[in-house]
Amino acid sequence: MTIPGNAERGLRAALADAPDHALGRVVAMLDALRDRSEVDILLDGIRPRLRRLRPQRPVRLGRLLCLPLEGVLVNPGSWRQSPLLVPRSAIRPITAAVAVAVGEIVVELEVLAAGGSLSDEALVQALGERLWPAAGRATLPIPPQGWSEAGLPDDSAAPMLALCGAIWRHAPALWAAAYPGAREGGSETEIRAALAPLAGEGRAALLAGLALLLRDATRPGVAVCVAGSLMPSVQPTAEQELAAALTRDGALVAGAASPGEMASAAQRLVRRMEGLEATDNPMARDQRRQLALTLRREVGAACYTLYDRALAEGLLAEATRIAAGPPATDEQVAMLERMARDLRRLEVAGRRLAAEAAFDRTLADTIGRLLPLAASRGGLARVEVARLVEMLAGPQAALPLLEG
Amino acid sequence: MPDRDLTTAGSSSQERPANRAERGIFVPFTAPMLWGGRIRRLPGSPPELLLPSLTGRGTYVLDWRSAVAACTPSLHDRQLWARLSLLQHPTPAAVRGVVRKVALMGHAGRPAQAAAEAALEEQRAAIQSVKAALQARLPAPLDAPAAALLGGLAEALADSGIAATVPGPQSRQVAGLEAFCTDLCEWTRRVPAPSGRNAGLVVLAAARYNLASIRACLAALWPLLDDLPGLLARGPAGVRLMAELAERPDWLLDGWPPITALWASAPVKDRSALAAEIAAIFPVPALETDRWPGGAMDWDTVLRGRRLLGSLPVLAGTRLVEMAARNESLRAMTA
Repeated sequence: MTIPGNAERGLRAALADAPDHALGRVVAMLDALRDRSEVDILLDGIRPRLRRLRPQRPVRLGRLLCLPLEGVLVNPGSWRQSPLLVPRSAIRPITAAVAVAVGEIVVELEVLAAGGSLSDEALVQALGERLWPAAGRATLPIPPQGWSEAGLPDDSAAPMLALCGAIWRHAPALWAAAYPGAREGGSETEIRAALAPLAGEGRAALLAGLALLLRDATRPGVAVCVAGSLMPSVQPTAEQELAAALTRDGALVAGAASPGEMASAAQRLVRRMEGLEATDNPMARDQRRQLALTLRREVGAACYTLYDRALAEGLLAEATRIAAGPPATDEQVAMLERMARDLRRLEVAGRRLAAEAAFDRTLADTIGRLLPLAASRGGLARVEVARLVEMLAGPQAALPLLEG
Repeated sequence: MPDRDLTTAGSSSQERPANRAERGIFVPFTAPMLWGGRIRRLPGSPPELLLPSLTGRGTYVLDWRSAVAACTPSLHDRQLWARLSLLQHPTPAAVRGVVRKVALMGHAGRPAQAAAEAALEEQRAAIQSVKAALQARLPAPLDAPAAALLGGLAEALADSGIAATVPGPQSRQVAGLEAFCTDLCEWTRRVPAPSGRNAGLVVLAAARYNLASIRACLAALWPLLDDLPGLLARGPAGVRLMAELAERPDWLLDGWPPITALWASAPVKDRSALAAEIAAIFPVPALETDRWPGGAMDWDTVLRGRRLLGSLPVLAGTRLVEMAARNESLRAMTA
């Protein structure tokens, strides 16, 4: 499959603009293609959203192999032969080489993975425990077949395969620490158990493991401290990567298109920043404190701005319009309630970053304007207005509507 | 909103209460911090709220005023409790009736309102269908007093049905519990140990024990109707006996339908956390049920397993908003 330049640009833009619910369907369609080489490039622009949305994606050998490598995978254009990175164009030849080297396991995995999806972390963990160590122990040809056809120089194969092998050998523990079953995130013990063997493989492997933990782990600051304690020389780089990861998270919040999307991204950032400043290194502590201050101020302001606008122009305007009309349909009420719940989530996450007083003022003002709608005898029943008020501001704020 | 961390409030009661009245009945609250709560009313006492501990060890006993202060009940929950607290002898059926009334008022949203309407309609139809099936088993038309008794019997048996061929709405809940056991069993086989497998195995054992007891109670109930004329000849005592026996599967099922609906609707990525959540709140039958058909199950082992599981994380942040929406959506699935 070859996508013409204009079409590619159009597809990229369409994917970037697609709402959350549509994105999952588009990705499922692209996943069904036999040749995904160009599709992967199309997906580059939306990978941060895909990580958050985690749509159902079928388990394939290449994707399963790539999961623990996610921290080091980059677009071919930004690779520049760094020994710490793996361009996505290398995935296909590497996957083919692994498939040959561990053929029996691949057949077994195909059976076990049938019908499963990558969002099933338990399945991924179970399959990964079979595949990753075997792939890490396998002897792969250098360079693998199809290497130069993928635009990769021959001399890049050995260090790249060595890095992949090192990560795969210790990937089960790394994956468990990056995506633990518990909601509160991986413990320091789990993180240490994941990074210590990678430190034994060398600096590149340790940084690769850390990069995976920095992408999604609930406590990236702890991961950096652990990496620094295992190999002090990586501490400055690790601190830079931590700052870059959290700054990317902040940009994801600020760039969110809807209150619901922004609330999820902001809550994620809030959780990842918890305990950020808990480090024994005074210089790192100061840097992290400064980073946290900046992120809280800027991201909190972005949350408040969207909240204020969506409340006034979205929920309040729609509720007023519907209340003035004929009895609301189920769809209209469901839409208002979805908006109210998303705004509440955004407010809860946003006020943990900054602008608490501004959230309070705006909320009080909005409730003051919503309450009279209950008396309008129009499109919304009194109990429906009460529920909207409750969703936005809690049950106490709505009690007067039921007691009056 | 306060966090659901009540570890210093109140004392833990026995893990297996002696009888149904002590155990209480599951109430489908929507507030996240009341999730898994039950109402009980001991003779001569005001109603009490029983909340499972997040550690899976013991239960907190609260009066409603404390619950309002600590658990932020929703508007729906306040309306519900105001009406439930009027029940002198709460049973699963009585609580279900109140829950549907509150849903009809719109406090749990329009989907729950529609589901409650449908459930009431289904119940009316079930009573008629059971009544017709019972009448068909009689050789001759009944006089007025016997017809009234038959009407009472049909109401008592409407939920459970009177045979596998004349099932009631309860059969769907039993099928849901069966499907839950099958799915959970398959999930625990492939999930790795640290990802909720132990919690899943504890829940699976509890669900299987309950299912076996429910089947045994239903199997013991229906043959009593073989001698329907004899049963009616016993007068109101015969109807009371059947009503008491028909209540048993209802008590055993109490609290499970929301759990099975939650599991069936949860994305796979959430199942590890969900298994841990269910392990902390699944209902445990009272000791008196050991004397019911099916006999005693090894609940001590199940409860010992539950005590070995880790505590649930304290609810906070946007998770509270998401859980309130989730709990409300369950109302539409289990009216």
